[in-house]
Amino acid sequence: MGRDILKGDMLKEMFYGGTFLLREQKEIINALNVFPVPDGDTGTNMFLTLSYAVEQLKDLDGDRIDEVASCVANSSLVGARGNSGVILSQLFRGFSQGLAGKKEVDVESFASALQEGVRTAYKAVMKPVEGTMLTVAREGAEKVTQEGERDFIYFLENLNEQAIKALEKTPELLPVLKESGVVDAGGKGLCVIYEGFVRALKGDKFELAEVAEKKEGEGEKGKKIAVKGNKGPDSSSFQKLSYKYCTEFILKGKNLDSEELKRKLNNTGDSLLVVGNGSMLKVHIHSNNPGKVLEICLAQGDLSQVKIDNMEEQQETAGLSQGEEEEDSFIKENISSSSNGKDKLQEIQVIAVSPGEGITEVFYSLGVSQVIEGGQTMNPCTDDFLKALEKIKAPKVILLPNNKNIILAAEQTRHLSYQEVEVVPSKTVPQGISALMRFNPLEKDLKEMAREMEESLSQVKTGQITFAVRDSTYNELSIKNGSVIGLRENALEVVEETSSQAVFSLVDSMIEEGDEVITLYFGEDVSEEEAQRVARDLENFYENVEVECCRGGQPLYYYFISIE
Amino acid sequence: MRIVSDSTADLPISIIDEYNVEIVPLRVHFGEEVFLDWVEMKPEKFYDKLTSTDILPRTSQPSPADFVKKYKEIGEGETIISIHISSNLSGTYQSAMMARDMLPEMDIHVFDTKLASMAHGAVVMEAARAAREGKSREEVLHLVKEMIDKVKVYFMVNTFEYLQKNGRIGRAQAMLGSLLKVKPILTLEDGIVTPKEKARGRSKALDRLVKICLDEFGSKNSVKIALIHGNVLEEVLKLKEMVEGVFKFEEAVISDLGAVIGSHTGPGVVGIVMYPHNDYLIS
Repeated sequence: MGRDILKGDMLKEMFYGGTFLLREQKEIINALNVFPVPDGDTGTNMFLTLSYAVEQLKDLDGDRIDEVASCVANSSLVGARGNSGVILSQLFRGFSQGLAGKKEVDVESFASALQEGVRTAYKAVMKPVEGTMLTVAREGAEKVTQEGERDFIYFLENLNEQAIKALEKTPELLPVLKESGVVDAGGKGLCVIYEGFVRALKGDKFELAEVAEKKEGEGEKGKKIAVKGNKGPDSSSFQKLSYKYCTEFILKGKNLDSEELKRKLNNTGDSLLVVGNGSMLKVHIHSNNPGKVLEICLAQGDLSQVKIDNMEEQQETAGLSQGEEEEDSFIKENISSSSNGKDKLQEIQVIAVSPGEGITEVFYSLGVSQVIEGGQTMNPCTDDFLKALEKIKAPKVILLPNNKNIILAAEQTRHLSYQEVEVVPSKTVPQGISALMRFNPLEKDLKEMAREMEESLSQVKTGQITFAVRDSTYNELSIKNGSVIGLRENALEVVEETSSQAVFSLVDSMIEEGDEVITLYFGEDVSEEEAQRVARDLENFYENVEVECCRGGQPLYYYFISIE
Repeated sequence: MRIVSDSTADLPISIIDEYNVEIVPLRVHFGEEVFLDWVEMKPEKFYDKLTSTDILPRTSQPSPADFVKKYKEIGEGETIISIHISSNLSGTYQSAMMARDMLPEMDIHVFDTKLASMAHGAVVMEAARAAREGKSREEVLHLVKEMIDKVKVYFMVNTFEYLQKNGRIGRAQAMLGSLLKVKPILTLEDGIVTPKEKARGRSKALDRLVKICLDEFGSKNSVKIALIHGNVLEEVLKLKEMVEGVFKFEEAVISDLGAVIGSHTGPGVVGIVMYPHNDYLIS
C-alpha cells in the first residue's frame, strides 16, 4: 500500500524510529573514529541530540507536519551535542523551514525540504568538509529529488540507499578516513536515522516511552554533566539589579510568532529571549512584573514549565558564601586599604569546559567563573552552556570549549542567549589555559578580549597521552589494542608500551629551541608519585626547561602536556 | 626654578647630576637597621642583603620636616616643583604636601604622579630638562600634568610574595591563588598595581611586555623608553635588544629598581616605561 501524503503524526513516528535505531547502533558509530582513541562519541552525541528533541515532541498536540518539524528543529538546536549533533540540528532547522506553513506534504515538498536542510547546514559550518555527514546528507537529498518518486515508502527507502552509497564513498573524499579504514561516523549516524524513518513508515512501532527511558539508562557514558560555580574569591560581582525576577516558561499555541511576542514583551523587562516558532516558544525575561508577562503570553496560548526566581535573593545567597570564603582566605589581612581591587566590577566572565577535577581547580585559580564538566567522554550540549550562562548572569561572557568537538555547540549559544557571548575556540585544555593567561577580568571590550585570548592559542603546543581502543595502523605506525599512544595537536604521533615512555617520545618530538615550560596534567589513572618522577626526569634531561606537574584528574587520558 | 623628587624615582645618578634634581630619600628598614634609599643603600647592596636574610624589609616615607628642610635649602624666591611617587603606594606625597602648607611664603607645586620608579622618574627627568632649557613655570607645570597621563609602565614580577606582604598588591590580588606557576605582568593604573596578564616563563613574559607596548604605542610613532630591572641586568639587556628592533626611539635609559621599590616588588623585576615623544616634550 502506498502513501502519497505525510502528516505530522507520521513524521513523529519517523523521528522516534530514528532515535531508537541510533540508540541501538551508537556504539558501532562511536567506534568509527579516525584515531583509535577512547573518545569516539559521535554516535552518543547524535543519539543524545535527537532524543532531547524527540522528548519535546510528547508535549506537542496536533498533527501539523510543520509544527512537528519545527519542534524537533528548535529543541535539537538547544540539545545539540558535539559537532555531529550541531550539524544534525542545522539539517533539521533547514528542513523545518522548508516545511513551514504546511499541514501535510507530498514527496516533492518533502524532498525540497531535505534540500533546504542541506543548504542550511552547509551555511552553518564555516568550512564545510566533504566526506562527512554533510556529503551524505547532500548526495542523498540530491539523488532522491531527481528520481521523482511519489510514494513515501519507496522514496525514503531510496533516500536511505543513496545515503549509504554516499557514506561508502566518504573514505575516497577524506584521506584520514581511508588511512584509518573507516567511513565517516556522522554520515553513518545519518544513514541510521534514515533507516529508522523507513522502518517507522513501514509500520514498526517505536514507543516514545521506550526511547526516552533507555536514554536514562545511558550507563557507560552516563556521567551527568554538572555545571559548577567558582566558590573562590572574586567569583561574582554584585550588581544592582534593575529587574528583579527571572521569568521563564514555555508557551504553546497556534501560529505563534516569536517576533511579534518579542515586541509585546519588550517594555516589561530586559534580557528578553524568545526561541522557537509555530506551536511552541520558549520565553525568558528579567522583569519586575512577571504577572504582566504571563498575562500577555496567556492571550497567545497555554503556559507550561513556568519558573520565576527572585534574582536579588540569589545574589544575596551567593554573596554570603563568598564573604565567608574570603574571611578564611590567607590574603585577607594584607589587602591594602586604598586598593581593595573591588572598586571596579568584573566586566567579563569566563565559562570553561573541564574534563577533570584537577583541571577544574586550575581553571578556577585562573579566574574562570563557571565550569562545565565534560570533555572527551561526554560533550556538553548547547543547553549545558545556556544553563551555565543563565547561572552566572554576567552580561559579557567568554566560552572556552577546550575540545575540538565542543566548539560548535558553544558557538550555537551565541544566538540563543540574551548575554553577549564570544567563543574562544580552544581545542585542548592547554590551549584553554594559554587563553586564560591573557584573560584580564578588568578588560571592558569583550570582542577585543576574545581576540587576544584567541591569539594566544597558537602559542602553546599540546600533547595528549591515551590508549588505543582497537588494532589499527596509521601513517605506517602499527597500533595494538591497548597500547599507549601520544597525540600531537589531536593527531597521532607516537606509539609506546607505557605512559611515561610515551610522554618522553612525544615531548622529544614536539620540543623546540626556546621552549621553557613543560606542564604535565596527569589523569585519574596516573599516581602523583609517577607523574612527579616523569616530571623530574624530563627536567633533568632538558636544560633550561622548567617542568611543572599538576593533577588533572581527567579520565582516559594519562596526560595532557603543554609545551610553551 | 628647581625640581625636587624622592628616591623612589629610581633615577640613575648621572641623570640626577646632569639635570640638577634635588632628591629627598625614603628609608628602608631591615629589622632594627635603617638605611637611606639610594644614599646608604644602593641597589647592588640591597639585593645582596635581600637574598641573604629572612627579614622582610619595610619602608618609610620622608617626614614633612625632611621636605621643609630641603625646600628651605633651595631657598625663598625659587619656584619649586616637587614630583612624587603614587600616593596610593606611599605617604611621601602627603609629607611633601604638609611641608608645602608649612611654607606658605614659598612658591611650591607638589605632584602625585600616580606612578613609581622610573615611570615616576621619567616625569621628573622631562620636567628637569624643560626647566634647564629655560621654560616658563606654566610650561613646566603643564608638561608635568601631560606626562603623568602619558607615561605607561608594564612590568613582570618574579613572585607576588613581596607585593602581597607589603600590602601593595592592589587590584592584582585577583591574580593570586593560581595553581600553576605564572609570571604576572602588571601595570599602574590610578596609582594602583593593576593586573595586565600572566605569562608562563620569563622569556615569554619579556615577549609579552614588548607586544603590550607595541599595541599601546605602535611601531611608527616616536617614543621615549626606559627599562627597569631588579638585579637582572642580563635580562634587561636582552629586553633592550628586543625593543631596539621594534620601536622608534633614540636611547633607552636603563635603571635599577632601588631599595624601597625593590622591598615592595622583590628581586627579578623587569619592565618597560614608555611615553610618546610629542610636542609637549621640548628637546
